Amino acid sequence: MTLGSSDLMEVLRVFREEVREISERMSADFLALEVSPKEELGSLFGRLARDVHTIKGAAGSLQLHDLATLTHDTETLLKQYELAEQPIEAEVTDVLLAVLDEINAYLDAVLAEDAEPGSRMQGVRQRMVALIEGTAKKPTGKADAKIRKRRAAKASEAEAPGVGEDKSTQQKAFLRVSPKRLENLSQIADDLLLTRLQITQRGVDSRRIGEEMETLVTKGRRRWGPEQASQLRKVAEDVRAVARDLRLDAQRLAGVSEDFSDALRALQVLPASTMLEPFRRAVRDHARKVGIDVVLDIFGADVSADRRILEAVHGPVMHLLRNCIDHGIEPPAERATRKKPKRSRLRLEVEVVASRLHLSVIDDGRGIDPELLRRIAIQRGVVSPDEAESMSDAETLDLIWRAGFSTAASVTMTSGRGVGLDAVRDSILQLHGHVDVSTEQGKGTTFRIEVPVVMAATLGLLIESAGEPYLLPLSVVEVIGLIDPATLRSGQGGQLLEREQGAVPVVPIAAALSGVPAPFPAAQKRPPYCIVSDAQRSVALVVDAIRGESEMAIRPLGSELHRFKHLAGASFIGDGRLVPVLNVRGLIPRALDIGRVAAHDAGAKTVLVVEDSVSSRLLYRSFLEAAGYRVLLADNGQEGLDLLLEHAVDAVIADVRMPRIDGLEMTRRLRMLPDFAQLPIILVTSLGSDDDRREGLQAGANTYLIKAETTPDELVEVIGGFLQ
Amino acid sequence: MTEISDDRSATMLDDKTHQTEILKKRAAAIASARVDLTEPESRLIVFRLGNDLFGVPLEAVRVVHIIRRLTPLPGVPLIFAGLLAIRGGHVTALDLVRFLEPGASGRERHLADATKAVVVGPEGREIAILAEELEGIQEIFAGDVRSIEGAPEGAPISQLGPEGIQIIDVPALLADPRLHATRTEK
Repeated sequence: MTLGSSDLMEVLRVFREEVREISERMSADFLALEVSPKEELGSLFGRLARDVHTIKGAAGSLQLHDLATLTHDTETLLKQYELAEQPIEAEVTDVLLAVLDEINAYLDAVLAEDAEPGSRMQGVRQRMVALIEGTAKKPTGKADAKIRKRRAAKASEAEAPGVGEDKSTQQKAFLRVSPKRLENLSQIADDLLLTRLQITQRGVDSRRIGEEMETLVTKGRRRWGPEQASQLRKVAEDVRAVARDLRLDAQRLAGVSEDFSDALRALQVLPASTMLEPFRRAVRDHARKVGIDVVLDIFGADVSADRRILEAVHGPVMHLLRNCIDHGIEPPAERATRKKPKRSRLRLEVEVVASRLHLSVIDDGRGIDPELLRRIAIQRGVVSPDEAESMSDAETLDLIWRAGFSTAASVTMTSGRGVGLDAVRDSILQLHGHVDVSTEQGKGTTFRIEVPVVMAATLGLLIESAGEPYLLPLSVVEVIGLIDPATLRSGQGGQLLEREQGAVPVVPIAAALSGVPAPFPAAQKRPPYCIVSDAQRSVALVVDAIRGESEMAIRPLGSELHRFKHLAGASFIGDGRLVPVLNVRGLIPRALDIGRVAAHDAGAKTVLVVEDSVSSRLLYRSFLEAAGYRVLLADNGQEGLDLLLEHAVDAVIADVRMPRIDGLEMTRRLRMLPDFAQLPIILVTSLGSDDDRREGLQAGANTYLIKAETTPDELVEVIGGFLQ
Repeated sequence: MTEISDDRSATMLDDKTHQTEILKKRAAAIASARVDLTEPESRLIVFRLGNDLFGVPLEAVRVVHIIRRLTPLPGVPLIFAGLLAIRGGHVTALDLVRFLEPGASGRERHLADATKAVVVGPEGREIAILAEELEGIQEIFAGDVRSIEGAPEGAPISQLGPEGIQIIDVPALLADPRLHATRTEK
């Protein structure tokens, strides 16, 4: 029998998945070979030999000769080390790991029907051959026999009752399912949920119709004769019977839908080791690159969690591990002076406690110096010297989570750019999780992540604002209630709602959503509110109505809307309406901003600051606000244009060089629109040549100022001149 | 394949009659103007929005949808008119008038009058363009199309068809920064 090309490709795809799994295991074993005690080397070499042989055999069957040759060489090299009963050196591990990379790349190329998939493998094969020839012990027939004897002894140990387990039998009980197919099943689960919600609503509607008919019949009994009234009553009863059936159908469907969702959730659960094991390799590679000697120890890899949670925390954990290597762990020489072992032990601990997955990344490095953090924070204008003085060590440590904050003396590809720890925290918060850090100078730093074991249940709070329904995930809603005017007071950042646990800012949700200050719902003396929290901040959102809980099947928004962080997606509700689902992590900053703006003079003029430098933006804002202006901020010209279309703006201050749309292009576009022909636009830039200035004015700017020559006070004066 | 999606097909009858009349007139006009029956170069789905006629190449249209409800989206630029529920999912609705002329007024009228949505774009990147009336399918022959003078390169509309139909270049429309921009969270 011969295989058709589509059958062959299917076999290749299966082989590719098999190799992916084997190579992950081999990668861990190669790393273990570097550090394992002599008595464990035998079993490691034995497992590696089986894995390499599996790949070699299948490669031969599939006529993948380049792969068969490379795995044959790998087998030869491993035999030499096994014979010598010695761990492999780090340089050899580099080559062996590179072999795995090339094998995976080769199979991807084969599946992509690349004309010469094996061309890349030549380099690594030459390195492999050089190693084989450079290794003193060459395997001979006698040596092979010795190895076989040793492995046979190991195998008989493993077969002893209660000791070994036939993993191949165990593995056969599993079926490979691609994540894409699981996503499709999730979609079906969502559709089932939606259908159930709709049927429930139809039942409610039918019962109401039946009751209304009954009422009409009773009220209009004089109009209808007894026979007609009886018929109408019968119809009303039939409608109510349909309503009852619909309710029962909905209950049955609810059972099926919940069973299906439970089964799907069970399918989504994976051992944490699937995520954790690849970290060993990544840590080793990164540490070698930056000259740190470190081994990653993993504890608790056998716990299980939702695949989507594991995928979502992979990036943050990797970032924290890199952070420990780049900033925490001292180079070997420094460790020697501190009387620490030359080789650092980086620990990754995983456990499940009360349905929460706890991951700790623990290094034994230098720890974080709060004084150093204070100095850097002052240097970078993150805090003033007075603020720094009054901060506790714990508050100072919290600075590491701020955007743009880094203590790295130098910038590497992965660290020192001040990008990362804030993103780590954001990612974890999005999972309704929590991350914190503790440190002890000279002894090390511990990062702790806590996330749910499974994706959060999708229950939402249905609210209304300006006649439109919105959903808030129930997991972020702390309290709902009615505003008691006696509990309101004015604070620096706007209105506050007093409660036992402390005051929280209170903002009409209509204002937070629209970005325009709005009063509390006028029709209600005690309007409803809900306090929402993103684990860091809380805000009380005043709404028109709270309609109760609703199940949600959140569908993501199109990519064109991803930048609007106050929107998480959309979900259908029971009556079939599509409702926006709000994201409190984006909504809270909007609410706090608008609360602050509303607290300001309502008659103030509005200035839009378009500037890609965070510090310049904040500097201008503080000076403009101090001068009584409302300030809107944008970090590039496109965002500036968006804001100008949404808000009434009296003047614009813009930088010239910015990503996406620069200040010149933004000015040109505005001047083409009649609404913005007279809008004062002040370009403030570091580009100071005559040509630059000419270009700025030709684009349509009213004034062109040079940053180095203009103080914020002078800028405010210029704005004042235009807005008098 | 393009299809008309509507649970309430009755509401289409008036449109269909109207379309048929238009198509008949156009067919007659085309027949009188041309003696040779050459194959058209392309076909456009033509719709009206305000006083303007727009055309989308037929092959770029995924579905024409009759609007039952538009879910407004708060805190987004006015070019995004809301979300349309389509077959258990949703698509972002684009207010083309606002999109083409950011300072345009009369938005409320356009939105209130929008009864259809022409859904364009590849799977996963669909956009629903709001339309007041669907005028029908227009065959485009060689020589029917002219370039709009001064239209910038990459503009979503740079060509005019017969009867002043503004031809929408769907890839250019989807490539517009306003439709795939990302910005840092506030």
